[in-house]
Amino acid sequence: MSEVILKQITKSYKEKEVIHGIDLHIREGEFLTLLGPSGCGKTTILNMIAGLESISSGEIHIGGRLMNDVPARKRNIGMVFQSYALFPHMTVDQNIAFGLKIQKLPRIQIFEKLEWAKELLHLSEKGKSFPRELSGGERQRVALGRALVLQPHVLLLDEPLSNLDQELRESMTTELKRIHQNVGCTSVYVTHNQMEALRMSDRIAVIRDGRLIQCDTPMRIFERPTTVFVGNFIGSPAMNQFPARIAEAGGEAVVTIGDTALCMEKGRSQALLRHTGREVLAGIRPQQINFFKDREGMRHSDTDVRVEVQIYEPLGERLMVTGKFNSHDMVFFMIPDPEHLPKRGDALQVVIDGRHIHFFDRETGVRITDGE
Amino acid sequence: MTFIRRLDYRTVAWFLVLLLMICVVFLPLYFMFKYSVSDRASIITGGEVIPLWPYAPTLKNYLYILSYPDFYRAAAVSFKIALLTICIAMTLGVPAAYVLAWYDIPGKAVLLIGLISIRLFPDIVSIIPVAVIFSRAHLHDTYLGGALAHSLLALPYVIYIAMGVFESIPKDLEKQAEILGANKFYTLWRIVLPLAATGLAAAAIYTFLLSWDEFIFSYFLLGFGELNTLPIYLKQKMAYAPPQSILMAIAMLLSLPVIVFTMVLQKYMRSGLTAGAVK
Amino acid sequence: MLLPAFLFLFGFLVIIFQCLVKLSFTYVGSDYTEQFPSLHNYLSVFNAGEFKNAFINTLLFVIVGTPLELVAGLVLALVIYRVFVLRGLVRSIFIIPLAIPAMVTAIILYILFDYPNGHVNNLLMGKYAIFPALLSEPINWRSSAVSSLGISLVGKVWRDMPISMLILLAGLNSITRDQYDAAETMGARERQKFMYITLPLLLPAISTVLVIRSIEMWKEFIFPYFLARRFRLLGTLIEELYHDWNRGGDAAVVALILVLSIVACTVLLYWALKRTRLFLVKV
Repeated sequence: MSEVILKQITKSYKEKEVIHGIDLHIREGEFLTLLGPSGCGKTTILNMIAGLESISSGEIHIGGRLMNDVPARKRNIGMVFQSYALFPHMTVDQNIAFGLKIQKLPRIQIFEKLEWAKELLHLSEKGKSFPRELSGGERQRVALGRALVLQPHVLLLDEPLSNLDQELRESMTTELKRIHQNVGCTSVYVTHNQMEALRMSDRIAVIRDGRLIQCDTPMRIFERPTTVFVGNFIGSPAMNQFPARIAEAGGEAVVTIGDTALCMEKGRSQALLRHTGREVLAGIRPQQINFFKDREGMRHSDTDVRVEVQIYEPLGERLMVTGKFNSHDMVFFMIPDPEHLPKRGDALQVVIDGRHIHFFDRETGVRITDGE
Repeated sequence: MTFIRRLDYRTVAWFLVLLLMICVVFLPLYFMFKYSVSDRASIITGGEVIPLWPYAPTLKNYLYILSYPDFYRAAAVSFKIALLTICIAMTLGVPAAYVLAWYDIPGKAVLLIGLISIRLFPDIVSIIPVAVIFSRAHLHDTYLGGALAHSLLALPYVIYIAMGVFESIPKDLEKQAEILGANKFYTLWRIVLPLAATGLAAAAIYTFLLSWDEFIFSYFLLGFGELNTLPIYLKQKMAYAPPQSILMAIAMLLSLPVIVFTMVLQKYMRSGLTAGAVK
Repeated sequence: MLLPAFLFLFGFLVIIFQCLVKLSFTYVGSDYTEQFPSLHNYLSVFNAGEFKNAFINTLLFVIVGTPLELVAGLVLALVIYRVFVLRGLVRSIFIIPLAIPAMVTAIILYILFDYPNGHVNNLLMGKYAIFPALLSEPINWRSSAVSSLGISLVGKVWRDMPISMLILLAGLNSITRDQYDAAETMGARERQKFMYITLPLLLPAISTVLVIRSIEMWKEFIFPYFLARRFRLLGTLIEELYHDWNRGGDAAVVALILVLSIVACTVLLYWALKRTRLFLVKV
């Protein structure tokens, strides 16, 4: 267990830089997720921490030791591959004990550690089985056990759940979190699945095109995305985006989408005052748009808008509606009255919660700070 | 109704072609076998008219061949040369295949094309220079010479088959072993070779077969000395114009191991045979 | 690790080539004096009728044999492709010819086409009740160029057709069921499916077969060596010059011409096939 520090690491393949100066401080015992679309370089970063790929410049410290030139086998890390990479000609026991045998531990110690790992991962019955005889979930756990049994400084997980079916993936997500809490090992997890990232991580590092965009706790990342990209990538369905203008009226900033002015709290609209005249993107999550049958509970910061229903998709207990608002698509949820399902072309009144609107620069996509 | 009739007609046509092709494949083999168990009268007249079967099938021909030491001597020579060929071709070919399969080395494409283009060179063309070189190096009529010549033929196949074998082993396994603390040698010994063993055995047997029924090199490099391989033995027997039954019995003994192993190993041999199909 | 294997292979290749070239330019006179460089060997080869005959024979062998192998392989592959049960077994059966040593195949044919009492002659003369008599006199198959080289060709095609079959089968298997189903939903008939899906998608495999098999046809030695001793291909001519006449220089010249022919033919074929493919795509 130890911290991992990446200092300005880059990676180039034949002149072409693919990782552009990543700075990342992974704390001891932390579960950090590298999240990003496929091809963004997150696996490359993981491989560089593992030592499977060299770094072109920068420094990697694991447990306070500079690791740049230390080969993978001496870094004392554990890694779980997407393919699990179980040795097909060895039993579960032999697979898990492989690293211990290389360390030439006494038999009794190997045995103890083996039992510990199998206990932890519910594999006690499977010791003599070969990988081909195991289910997907069991293979996954063997791969995990093989990494954990060495008590690595860092545990690296490369999309370990992506080969499992949906149901198993759900349960393994929880299982992984439980194991991490038990073992407390510093873990770096790579995935492109935002739900996994949100559910498991202490912190999420969002990667795009080889750059670190934002690194924060799941809640913060969801609530305060620093760029449009992060806002869109995290949260499902994606954030609604509307071009908006910030103008001044009576000593307060007024944000308008088309001809609709958005209501906001006093403090916020004052803080936005210094951005008067800017063209911005207003990001509103579907979860922050409510369908109210009556106006009783409306807050001062709520805006009442009219939406024309285009498509609606039943999700079980609620509907996901795509409507037209000011000639832009707007997605939101509603719990419908079974008697009165909306129809295409219906006009609905919905309420935008002004406390949770995100503003981004229209050119750069960077969040506009508004004094919070 | 019409649909079914059309389907039937197609299926029947296809089935007839299938039967015809099976006959085409088996007919020569049938005659080889038939002659090898023919008695004297059958050879002269052709045997029972339908289905061209000997009057009195006999194993006499086999017993006759097997009672002569020169057959055993030829078989032993073939065997020794084949084993030596395996040693040479595998020692040279397997490491090369491993490197080609697992590492991105510069000029890999050129090497692979070179490997294929070696086949542009006819055996009979290579004979003259090889004979010249061998006579200078005193490799004429030696086991080593024969094996070296056969290795020349087998090596591209060994490299191709072994490459296929190594490529089928996921690279993640090697990375995983490295992360678990294994060095390159340990990984090779404990992970890669055990997984490759079956496929490499197939490559070895393929090499054996290639050497076992090789004729051209053996004939011109070894044929005039003491070392006669089985194919040369067969060729020499032909010169004495023996009964056809004897010839075919030798041919059977020569072919049988090849047929058996080919059937067992066809999965691996296919990759070697169709190598170069991938351009 | 790479080095030994390639050093061995390419080393041999270089030495062989260098040796051949040197030999071809060295003239050994009747008094065993060596003359280098000399064009004598080239002149004597080009002026001899044997060479011209052998070259034409070989060319015909290639031109007739290569398509024949393609057709044989295609028939086998298409037959297997339709097999639903015991597919593996049928494929194994079709691979058998490859397991028979070439010289054994040649000897079997030698015996079958024997004169005057081979099975083929007996059959054609009506000695077996199953077949009507077509001949009154037995044919000496090995006495004419057409029949003796023809028999060699049959043997060659028979033995090597599994190779073509395997390549074509790999090509056929790369065409998915979906592609046929898609064509069918668009109203394609069997023949159209073959013309518009099977054939174009199989073209790379067909090209491979044509290139590889034509090379093998040029190289052929064993079958004509056993079955057509009196009518030479380039391969057998080399052997005869070197072995029977002890004219290594002439043999080296023929060998070099053979290698050049193979290279030229391969390049030409490759170019033609590329053009064909482009043409087919354009339509």
